[in-house]
Amino acid sequence: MNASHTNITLINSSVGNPLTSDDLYVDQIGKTISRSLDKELGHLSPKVLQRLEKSREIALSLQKNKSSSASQQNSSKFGFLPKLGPLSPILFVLLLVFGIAQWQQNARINHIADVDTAILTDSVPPDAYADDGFRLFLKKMMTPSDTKPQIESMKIEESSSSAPQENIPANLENRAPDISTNP
Amino acid sequence: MIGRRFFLACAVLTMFLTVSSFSFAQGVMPSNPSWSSLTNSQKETLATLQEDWGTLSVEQRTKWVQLANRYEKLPETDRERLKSRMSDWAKLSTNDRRVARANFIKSLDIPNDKKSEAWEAYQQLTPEEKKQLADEAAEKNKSKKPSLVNSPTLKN
Repeated sequence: MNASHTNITLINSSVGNPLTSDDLYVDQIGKTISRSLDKELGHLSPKVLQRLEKSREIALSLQKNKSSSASQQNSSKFGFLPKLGPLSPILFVLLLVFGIAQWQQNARINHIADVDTAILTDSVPPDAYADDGFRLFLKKMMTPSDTKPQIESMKIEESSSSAPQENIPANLENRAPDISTNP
Repeated sequence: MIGRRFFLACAVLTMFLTVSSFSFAQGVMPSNPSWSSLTNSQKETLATLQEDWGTLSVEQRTKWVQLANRYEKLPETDRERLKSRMSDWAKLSTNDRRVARANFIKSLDIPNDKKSEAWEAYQQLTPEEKKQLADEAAEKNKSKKPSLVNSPTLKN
């Protein structure tokens, strides 16, 4: 309905009747120009066609530059990510694993440094702890037993003892003084 | 978008872990500390190790640097004790140090004075008695499963 009304108005305007609105007037001009351009399209000179082609190429190249600079701006936010492409997840996982391994390694060294500091400042020299025999001796001394001789008595017994050496270990547990105060 | 956020989170976490691992204990230290890179205070503490510094592994060097950093916070008596024992400790074999650490941790609940008394008493034993004890301990250790403290990974 609107289209036919517009056509009627156009016909009317061509014979001098007043237009109904400004919009309709602009629309009418556009359509008239378009129609005349379409009509002349087949009769364009090669020079005009060449200029049009050149203008189109310029417009397309400008458009291309604009879109590529926009994508570069976008990628600069994440810098290295697009360059790595599909390798980026693998690289990040590797970096993460490396970071965790480093952290664990340093935590372990830190723990060892703590233990070493404690050993080197302990009341007993480090050699004692390196001796598994002393560890067992200490354990036996700290274990409550029925007979509880004192260290001094053990020393006296050792110094004056003429018993065969093979009997000593069997008696060590009983001879070891009980100095346990721990539960 | 989620992928990018994930990667950025990973990157931040990795950087944090890496940076924190290098500055884990006290103060930032190089990953492979050379003698010349040590501070004067660290050099003074570790003076007895200077000759052998080049033969130490990276892990051992790092550990000694960390130990030197702790040194300044120790009481005077502990400092003297630590310095006098440092060289002998470094000369122990890896296995001996591992055993010493394991035994030390096991005896943490024993008071120091009791340990001192036991050590004095132990020194009074004859070599044969000590050997019998060591053999007995070795026999017992054979049947034990490796634990966190005596595992072979504790090499420093």
